[in-house]
Amino acid sequence: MEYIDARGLACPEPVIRTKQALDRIGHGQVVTIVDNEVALNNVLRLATSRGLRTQVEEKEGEFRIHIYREDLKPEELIEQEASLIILVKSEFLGVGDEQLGSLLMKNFFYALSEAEFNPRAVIFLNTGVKLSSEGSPIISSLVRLEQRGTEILSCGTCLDYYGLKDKLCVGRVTNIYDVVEFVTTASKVVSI
Amino acid sequence: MLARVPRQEHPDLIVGSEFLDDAGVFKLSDEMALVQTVDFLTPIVDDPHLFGQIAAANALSDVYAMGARPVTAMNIVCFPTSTLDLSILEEILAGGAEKVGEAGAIIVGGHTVEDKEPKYGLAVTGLVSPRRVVTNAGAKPGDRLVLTKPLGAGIISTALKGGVIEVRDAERAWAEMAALNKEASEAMVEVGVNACTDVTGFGLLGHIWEMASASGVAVEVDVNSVPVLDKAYSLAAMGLVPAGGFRNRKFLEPYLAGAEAIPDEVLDVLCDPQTSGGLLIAVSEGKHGLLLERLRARGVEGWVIGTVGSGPPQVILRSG
Repeated sequence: MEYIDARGLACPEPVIRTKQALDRIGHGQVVTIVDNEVALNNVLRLATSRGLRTQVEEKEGEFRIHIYREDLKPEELIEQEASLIILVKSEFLGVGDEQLGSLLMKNFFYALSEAEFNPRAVIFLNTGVKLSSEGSPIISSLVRLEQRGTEILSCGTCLDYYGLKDKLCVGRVTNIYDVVEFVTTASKVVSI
Repeated sequence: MLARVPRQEHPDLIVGSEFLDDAGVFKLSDEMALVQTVDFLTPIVDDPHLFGQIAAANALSDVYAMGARPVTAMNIVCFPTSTLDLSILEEILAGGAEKVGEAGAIIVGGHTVEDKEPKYGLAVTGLVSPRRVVTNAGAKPGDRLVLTKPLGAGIISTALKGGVIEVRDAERAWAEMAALNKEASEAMVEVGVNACTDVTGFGLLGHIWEMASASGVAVEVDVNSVPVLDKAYSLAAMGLVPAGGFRNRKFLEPYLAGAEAIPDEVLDVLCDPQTSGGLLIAVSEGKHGLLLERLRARGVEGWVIGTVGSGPPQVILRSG
């Protein structure tokens, strides 16, 4: 736990000191003490913007703001992530109208990139490789997933077949042996 | 606060302090009225030259908001001559003189007092035809509301002070603060508008409320059309809201409608105290296109941010 005594300090100092403490501790609790509502509101904004839980005690015009940094993932979740592979077999999600399928695919990857869960890899096969190539509507979601540690893989044969070899935008090229390796070692493969 | 000061009355007083307007206006003849205002600031940027420019643009703005032409100005200076180098004061004054020159006015004197912290501003005198004074009390139902500078300078300054952003992230805000409202004012005088004020310490919503209550109208603000400086929303969400912004929000709460549907950080920006903000102009629906055109011709951008409605004074917020 770390205490920040921000009484008597003018804005933005209480926010800056709290932010530094949160960055320093990694996880655990920061308690910031402030003596005015402006500082209270600003420190609460900071915590909310980072999705952290807070609790405020008020005593004689002073506020003790408890900020809980519990954003570390439980080990169970990390294990599940490490074993999930998503196989994308086409550029459309589901069977039916292509325009709808394209929209659904875009929404699916947006939601996945926003979720807390990071799959081990996403593998694009057949027309699926159009999704990792130039002009794809889901590039930004894939970049986000990759930044968070998910491997983005595209089938080389498929890229060749559709003339997209030079157009790959995210992740790396893979071959069918790698794909076999991935799907046989994963405990869960979701195919879409 | 002014309640205990006897109300000033005179047959030739066109705008006095009870109107909460930008400047006082006193009729000299049927053709000419005197416009007077004074404003000074504590430093909001480290660079003394830029501070001088911003303080002068801020003081001149009150004259422009009345549709008048600044003629003379006097420096008001507080300075710690024993602890700060006089070259700093020289830079402040040079920056101020530059802006007064750009306004086509002249500095005719001034006064300095010894103080712990530097402060600088100007008392500005302008001229206007009594028939063409633009106050904040003339907005009419059906008018469009036009704003000429983006919001967020207070939040950006707070973030820079806290070291959360780099100098280059604040440069746009500085340029906006140092820009005169001269061209915007001349464009509005050319076109003929119903009401005007400049956006300063009470934030956009505070000044809209003043206009609404002085004009006896309700104003509807389209929150999504309000121009905002880059990063201002995310910095507000991080808690970099100056104390004045919270005070503005608290004061305005009873006069706002629809605020519950607006995210916190957006309200923070709408209530963010501005220094040398843009002009907020109420112009008839038929002339608002012409106003935007004339502004553009003078190199000023104008944004239509709302409409004036009938009904008791209040500020209605709409998003989407």
